Amino acid sequence: MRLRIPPGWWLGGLLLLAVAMVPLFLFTNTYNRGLLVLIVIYAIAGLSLDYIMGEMGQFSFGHAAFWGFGAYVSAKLALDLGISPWIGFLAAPAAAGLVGLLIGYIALRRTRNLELAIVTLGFGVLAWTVALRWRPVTGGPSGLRQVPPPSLFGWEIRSELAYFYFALLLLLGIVFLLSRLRTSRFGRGVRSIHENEDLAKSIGVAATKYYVLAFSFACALVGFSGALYAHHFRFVNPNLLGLDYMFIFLIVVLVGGTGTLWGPVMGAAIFVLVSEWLRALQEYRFVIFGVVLLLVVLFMPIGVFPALQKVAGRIRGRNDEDTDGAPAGDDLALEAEKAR
Amino acid sequence: MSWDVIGQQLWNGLLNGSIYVIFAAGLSLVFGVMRVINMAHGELTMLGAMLLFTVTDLVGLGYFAGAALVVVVMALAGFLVNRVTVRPFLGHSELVVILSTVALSFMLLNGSLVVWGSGPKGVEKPFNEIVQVGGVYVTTASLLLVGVCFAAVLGLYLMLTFTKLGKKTRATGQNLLGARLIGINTTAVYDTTLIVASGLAALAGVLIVLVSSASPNLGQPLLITGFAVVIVAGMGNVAGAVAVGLFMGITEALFGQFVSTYYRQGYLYVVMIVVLLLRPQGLFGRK
Repeated sequence: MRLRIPPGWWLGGLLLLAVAMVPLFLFTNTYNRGLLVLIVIYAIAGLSLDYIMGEMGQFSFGHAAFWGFGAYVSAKLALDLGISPWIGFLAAPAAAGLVGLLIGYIALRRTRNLELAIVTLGFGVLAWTVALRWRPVTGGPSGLRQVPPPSLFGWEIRSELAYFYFALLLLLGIVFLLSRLRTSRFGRGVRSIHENEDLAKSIGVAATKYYVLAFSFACALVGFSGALYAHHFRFVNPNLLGLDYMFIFLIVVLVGGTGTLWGPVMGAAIFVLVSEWLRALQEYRFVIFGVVLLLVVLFMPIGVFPALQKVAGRIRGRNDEDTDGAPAGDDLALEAEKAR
Repeated sequence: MSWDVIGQQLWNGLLNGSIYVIFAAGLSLVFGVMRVINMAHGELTMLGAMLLFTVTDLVGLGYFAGAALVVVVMALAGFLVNRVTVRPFLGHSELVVILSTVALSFMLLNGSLVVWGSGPKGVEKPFNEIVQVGGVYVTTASLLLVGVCFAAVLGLYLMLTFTKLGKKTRATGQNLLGARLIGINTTAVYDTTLIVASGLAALAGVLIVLVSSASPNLGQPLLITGFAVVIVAGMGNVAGAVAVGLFMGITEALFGQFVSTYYRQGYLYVVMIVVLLLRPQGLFGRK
């Protein structure tokens, strides 16, 4: 097997390198460096949601609940049992993945598309209710505080810069993992179900099994992102499971572009930086996000990253829609093409 | 456990159930006719309540005049909802319309938080005497609420069943292409469907303030409860939504009284999930 660097990686890699250099020059104070950590965490969450949206062609309204769940699991282990955050980073995705497996098994055997969106919404708000009400375990509305940061050989990764590079490294690993997964037998199986479920079944793809595993994988990934959040920002509360974060992840995925690996990374950077830039507008910025999401769905349904790729392709004298070697087969992109 | 408590909870459940009925009827109508899940339906109700607060408290209109004005304005706004967030996305996958209406609901929710703040706002009720009916305390305002809800649902039923517009609407819901073929202007039907649905949503909003207060945060939980009702009944089944809405309201109140107040809403979500998994077409839906 020849190791070929897929075309998207050049653009994405450059982007990442640029992002990695930024804190040394531009983001010099603690607060701004905290934003960079947030970008990486949202990027991982966005990538996981995009696995459901872009690869499976489905939608989960309960995705933020798995994010919050991962955060709670890791925080709880560290606070109550004194378990190292490093184990928490493994336990959170494991727990979220298991719950995702269970819920995916229950939901995906029977529902797709709209029904799936609403079943997952139901599970999500149920989880949120439990986090809010089960005071002895979850700490109720105020959540849990004083979540410890991870430490490496006795040195706590407390500084924003260290945590940023740590998380960035993980993000890079996750993007690589995802790119391999997409072209693996499993990944192609999932994509074939997305294209046409009956056809995929007819050639022997165990559709429901693949979908359940893919769903569980996405849940594990977002649970991991949640654990990263908990140990950096050092608190968890029920809002993490709520629809506000769901909305943020949606913006991250849609603005960046579904079905592309680097899209959600770019979407996360755009979201965090723009929302910071709009901070002066206070509550108005959320109204603006709503407008932005509507406009993006309306005018740029393929997202920013694929649009940039197109421009880059045109500059290099090509006009193919090569997105990371995988066919640009997601609904939004296809329909955007059809609509033209 | 005394019968008075049970009676009181039954009445409270009927009150909530009436709101669910009128809310879910609009949600179900939009789905039945247009195959669209309107994620902004809850915020339309919220807007109805908040606008009523504004016109009564700040402008000084009476409750009835204010409520009528708000419902009419919100119904007309339904036209805009259709043209801006639904119609441009209809040719796309079902999920795209969910996203565009999610965006709208996010705008409305956060816009309202900016305008009105997050605190609850009381609206002066037209009358609020308490009557005692065999051990159960009933406010006159809540009697008005139940009466108007049932009148509105009856009106919707009559409209759908007997008027020409209603027949066109049902035909469009049953077969879009067929309806177009026989010369029904389906664009106009879609417009009126959202106009009626928004009007119903706003009506739910102006009725809610009769028994509780208006707040920008009332839309989201109501939307999810509405989904629970619509799904248990079978999506698009307006008559089923009425029965299930009442059932859910009453059993929720009993659950709150006898099992757990904290998990009242959780109860509704569990019922929804179980029904959706065991009978995805809903209790009254056909496969």
